Amino acid sequence: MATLGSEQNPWDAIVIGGGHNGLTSAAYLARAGRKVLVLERRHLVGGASVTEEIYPGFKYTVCSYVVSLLRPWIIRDLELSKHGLRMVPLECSYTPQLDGPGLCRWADPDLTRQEIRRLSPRDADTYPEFGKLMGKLARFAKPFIDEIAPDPTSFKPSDFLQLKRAADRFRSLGDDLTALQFKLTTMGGVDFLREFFESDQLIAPMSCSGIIGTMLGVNSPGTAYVLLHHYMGEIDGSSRAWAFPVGGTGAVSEAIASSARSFGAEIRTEAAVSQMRIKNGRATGVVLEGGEEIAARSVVSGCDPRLTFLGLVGREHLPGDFATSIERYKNRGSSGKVNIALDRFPEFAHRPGIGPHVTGDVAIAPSTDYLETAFDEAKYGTFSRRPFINVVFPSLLDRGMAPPGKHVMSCFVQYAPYDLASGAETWPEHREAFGDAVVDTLAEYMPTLKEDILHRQVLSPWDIQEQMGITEGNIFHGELGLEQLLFQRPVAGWARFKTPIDGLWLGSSGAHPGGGIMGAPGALAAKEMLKAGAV
Amino acid sequence: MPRTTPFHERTAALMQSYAWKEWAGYAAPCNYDAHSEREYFAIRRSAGLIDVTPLYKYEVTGPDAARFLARLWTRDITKLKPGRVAYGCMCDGDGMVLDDGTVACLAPERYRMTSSEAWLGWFEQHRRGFDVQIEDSTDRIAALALQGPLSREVLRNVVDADLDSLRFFGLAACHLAGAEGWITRTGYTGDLGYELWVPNADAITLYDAILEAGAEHGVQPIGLDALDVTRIEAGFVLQGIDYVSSRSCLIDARRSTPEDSGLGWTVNLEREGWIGREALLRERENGPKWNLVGLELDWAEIEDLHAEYELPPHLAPCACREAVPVYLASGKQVGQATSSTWSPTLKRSLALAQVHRRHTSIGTKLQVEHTVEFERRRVTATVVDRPFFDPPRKTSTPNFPPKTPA
Amino acid sequence: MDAIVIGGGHNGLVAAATLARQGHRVGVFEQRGQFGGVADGLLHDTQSFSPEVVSDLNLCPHGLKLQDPAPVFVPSREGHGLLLHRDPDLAAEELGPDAEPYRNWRAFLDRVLPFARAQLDRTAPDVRGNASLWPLMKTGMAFRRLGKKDIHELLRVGPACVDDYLSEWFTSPLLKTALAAPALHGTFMGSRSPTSTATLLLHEAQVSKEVVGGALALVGSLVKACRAGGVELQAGAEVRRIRVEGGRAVGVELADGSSVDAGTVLSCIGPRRTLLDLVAPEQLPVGTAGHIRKVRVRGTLARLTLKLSGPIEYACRPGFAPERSLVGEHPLDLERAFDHVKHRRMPTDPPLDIRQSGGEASVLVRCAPFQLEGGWTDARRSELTESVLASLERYAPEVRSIATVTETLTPADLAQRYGLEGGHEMHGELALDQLGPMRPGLELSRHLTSIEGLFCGSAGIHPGGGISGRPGRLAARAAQQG
Repeated sequence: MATLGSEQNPWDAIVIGGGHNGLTSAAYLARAGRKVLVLERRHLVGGASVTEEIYPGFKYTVCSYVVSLLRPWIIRDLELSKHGLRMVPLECSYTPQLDGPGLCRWADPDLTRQEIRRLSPRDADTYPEFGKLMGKLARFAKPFIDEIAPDPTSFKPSDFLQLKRAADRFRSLGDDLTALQFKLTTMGGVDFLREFFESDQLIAPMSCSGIIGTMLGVNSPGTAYVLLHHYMGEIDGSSRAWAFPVGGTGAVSEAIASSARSFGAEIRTEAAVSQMRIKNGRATGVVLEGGEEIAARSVVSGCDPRLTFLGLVGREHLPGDFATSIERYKNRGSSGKVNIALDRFPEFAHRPGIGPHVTGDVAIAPSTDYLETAFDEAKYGTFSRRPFINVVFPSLLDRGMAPPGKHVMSCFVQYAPYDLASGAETWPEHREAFGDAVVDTLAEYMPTLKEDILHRQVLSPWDIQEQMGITEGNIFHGELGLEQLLFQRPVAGWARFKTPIDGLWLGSSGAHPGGGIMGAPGALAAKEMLKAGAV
Repeated sequence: MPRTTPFHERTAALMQSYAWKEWAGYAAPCNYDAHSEREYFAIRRSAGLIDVTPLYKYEVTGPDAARFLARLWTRDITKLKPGRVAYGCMCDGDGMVLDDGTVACLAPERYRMTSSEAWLGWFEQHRRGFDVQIEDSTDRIAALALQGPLSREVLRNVVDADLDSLRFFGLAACHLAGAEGWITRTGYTGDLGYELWVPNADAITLYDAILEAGAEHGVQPIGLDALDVTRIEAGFVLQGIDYVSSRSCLIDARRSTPEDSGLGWTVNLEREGWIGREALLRERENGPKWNLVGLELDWAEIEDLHAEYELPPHLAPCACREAVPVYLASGKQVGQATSSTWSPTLKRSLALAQVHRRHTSIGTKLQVEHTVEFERRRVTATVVDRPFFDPPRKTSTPNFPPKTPA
Repeated sequence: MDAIVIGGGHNGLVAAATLARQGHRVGVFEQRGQFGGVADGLLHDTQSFSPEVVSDLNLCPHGLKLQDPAPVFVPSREGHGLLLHRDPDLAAEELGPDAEPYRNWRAFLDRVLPFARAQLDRTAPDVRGNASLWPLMKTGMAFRRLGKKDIHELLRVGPACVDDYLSEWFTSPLLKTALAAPALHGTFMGSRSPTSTATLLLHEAQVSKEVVGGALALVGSLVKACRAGGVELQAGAEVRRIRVEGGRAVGVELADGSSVDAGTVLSCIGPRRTLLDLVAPEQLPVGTAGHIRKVRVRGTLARLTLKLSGPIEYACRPGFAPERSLVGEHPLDLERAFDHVKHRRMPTDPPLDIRQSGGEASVLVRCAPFQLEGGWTDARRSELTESVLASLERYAPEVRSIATVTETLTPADLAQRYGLEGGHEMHGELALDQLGPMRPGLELSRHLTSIEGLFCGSAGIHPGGGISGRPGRLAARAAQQG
């Protein structure tokens, strides 16, 4: 018998990229008895979901830092608990202010109401009501992220039935919720929240969820719907929808990888794919850097659509319209990451101590004007001098992330536009200035921060592109705008994971339902391949 | 963390049992002693003093204040005269109850409302078009209830209002232990009783004055446990227990109309312009589904049940707030009993229950789940009139109607 | 009287004339001394006026003349500016390399816009839960007839921002600016705001011919049409209350205390003012009131009127005095202007929409925030005047020597003079959630209210728009059907 991967004995499937989605695809395919090979360019799996000891003794959640929508059915199907996945829910979302105690939104809704009451009694009354409405809408929206997106222009019975089901669900909401659902999908986060709340100190941190990973501002239409994500896990207005995996987000990747291996998948690291093998319009395997060719009956790409189609496949193999659409696909990296090793915990000026308020996430989002100003700068091609920052202290959630008494701090920063006015390739010259802006901003809230820093890692979107291979460093593999969601992700008519190249499937965040450590694109792609008998 | 009321200094000093619970964000005593029996009997035999500051309080003022409140409440507040208090409920646009509470007319164009939940957001939503100001005075005004047959006697030496003329659901502005405030003849015990309203700064003085004046009458500080027993005896519903505010219901089926929650009597569907009316007119056409009834559990059956396990039945005056199913004799579930208690005064076991409309006529025999030694059993319960306990002293007023000289 | 029309703006006049033609006795009550609303001395473009109204009311015999919209000139600081015709043949010479894409783009619009236009001239679809699905499906089928490719394209570009969208087609910033600017009229958006492509398409769908003599000529002929139909036109008559009895509108009460009875009341002022101020709150279902209260009306419009001793000419093209011009040479200029609005700041170097004729120019500024930080005062008004002149001076250096500012209207002035809540000329921002069936709510978008006999027909109702007359026409038709 010829070795696996030779022309005579091809793999059933090759997965390009060992990110969490690629690993999920592999696990599902292997679980169905297929012979699967995962090829990862770096020395470790995980993609943007990795934990690395960049500074001795300190483990950084290098890119992604929390888990929100990892699908429960994937956790069950792949037995991730058995493979070591442990999650610690984030108990609080703290928004400090320079001149006051700021706001903590706790997992406990009553506590949250008390906090909000200080800002606005009216808003405190409305908060639970808002949570209830969002809970209802979340129940409506949830099926969309767990199944294939129906194409409203299609005449296929399956699309029609799915659309009809969605339409029936929509109408069953009642007129008020129908209108609200429509508003939620089209409005800006701030405008939507202002329909309910008056306190800017409350609206600002709530609106942030809509801009994460996008090149949009909190006022930009279309940013409201992400609010729903917070209510998909819980329905009582708590912020428990977020969790930190013990061992960092790399532990999620490792659990999925371990599951995939247990089902028989093979994972090769330091195996960079340089191009797709295409014969007669059909994907027949891959070519590695260095020339090694590996044959497979089908290929799943866990890379972003632009890299997959324009980089690995090549324009010449694609239908013209499709290639144009991929060229028009908006990647637009807008965020950077700063990871910091700390000698001691840098306390907040207005809520000192290492209390429960810092065991969740901390959002530097003092006002909606602040957030919009940060966006304005990015629009014109510079990083925000006073950015939105989402801070998590992994060492408070998992003591193993840093040596005793020391801490690590993960800062997700927006905006850092990939396209600097001076050109994306000039990021290396601006990288440290960007890091300084982040530290300066944080030091306003944490006065001792600068003295406490032992080491700092700054990642611009350019760095994310260079290191993780994500085009323009967009953490979601492409803007989560309305025009790039559902049946239009990544291209209208090609949102069912199948691609114009026979045998090539897309199972990354650039496919429906999109980004975040969800696992859904990878899992749905694998299921679709199996259903189609393609593997 | 719960906050403390202006009376906390005193209530904390009296607290023996360390039994605090949270009430609307405040720390409130459940019972001061190890159990609440003494407190219960103080309310029914002498008078009990209860810190009711955590009630939400709103001052509604301005030329359109009455119209505005009449829009929000089921009662026609435009007809409420100065010196009177009305009990009623507020509904949402679907006619589902949001909350129940009182509206007091302090003076023309000046009202104070109380509720169990916070409603400032709701008021703001409906304010446009009305010339009113709304202030949340919850944190500014301290409130005490003195309830029981001797409450009038005790207060004679504390307040300068004409208590003999103050009618049931009446209100008087007066001095209370020297401080300016209000007294209302209202309460949640179904007994003779008053509620006293003063600025926070005067809270302690008033508290001391009442306990001092009441010492010879046996006045006791009372916690929420004893209050709960008396309110069930009085047949009063409690938001969050006997019905759930439609704002807090995660599913629509949980919501209640005024009829469903025993508040139908506060509703006048002929009156126009109040929120929820249109929906409730439709309900009237179709007939309400539920009603809230009083149930009396068959004591002999309870005793027999316990006897099977060689146990005596539980007799302490302590209310149970865990809903249990209500069945027909056939075994079909037709509702749930939401609050229940043993009434030490009436010597009966009582419950409030939400029951399918068809089974609510007085005298109907139903079955209520009753757990003994972790086994679920049933006892017979009869639909009876509410209130269970309704002494004449609750409503009678010595000088009303005014005595004409012979 | 059979019907009372509240507000004698262009929509009110259209509604009144439409009802009068059906033989109804109609009275129009206008708070100001003149008729025409925002068509009287505020907005200057008439190219969105509905051809359906022109033919329904038979306006041409009443002296209305139509012509193709005048081309728009976009001056630039370098080069010769751009004179943009709608007709791709006429535009070709100026457009250079963009000429071909422009032709293709117009061809795309010609394919897809008839569908949109048809929606603008009929009542918004009823998408409420208890509504019949049939009309909705018919609309859906009509949409599908556009073909998969165009539908995919519309769904892809609609949610996108107008700058990105136009950049897919064109290279010239002047062209992109000229096309993008009107997409932002009546919105609270900049050229980088998602969904501004949808409002671009909406704008393009509305444009047809413009009225010779401008907005005032249009108002004149609408007034004539009303008079010819026997409409009683009352200026200086402010309606204070809509009288409702037993859930039915029975007339209005005027500010002077008098009452007028009518079986039908048609309000052509903003829906928020109609339902929240003129109707007693007790008469309104709480759900409707809730929706209406949330309608966003953040005005951004201001206007300067200039008296000219000579025509405004631009340095980049001496000797040429365009009737219409647009100051702003890059789509990002529109975005920067919106930044000022967003942050409630006085605009600097604002883009301007200018129309000059007969020794007068009207200059519209669309980035003056109603909610200016600190509020609008006389001093701030002067600051705005100065800012506008400075902006214009960059392209027309001589402007101060030929122009005298006779009037500056800030958004606050507009609110006051025209009775516009929030100073918004369309009584509600154009935004995806405030368009179609959602303008301004699922019931009201069909021109009906929960009060029997009360109808709404201003720009705050479907299909919105500037001087279009469409909402007035549709409201009158809804009123006829009862």
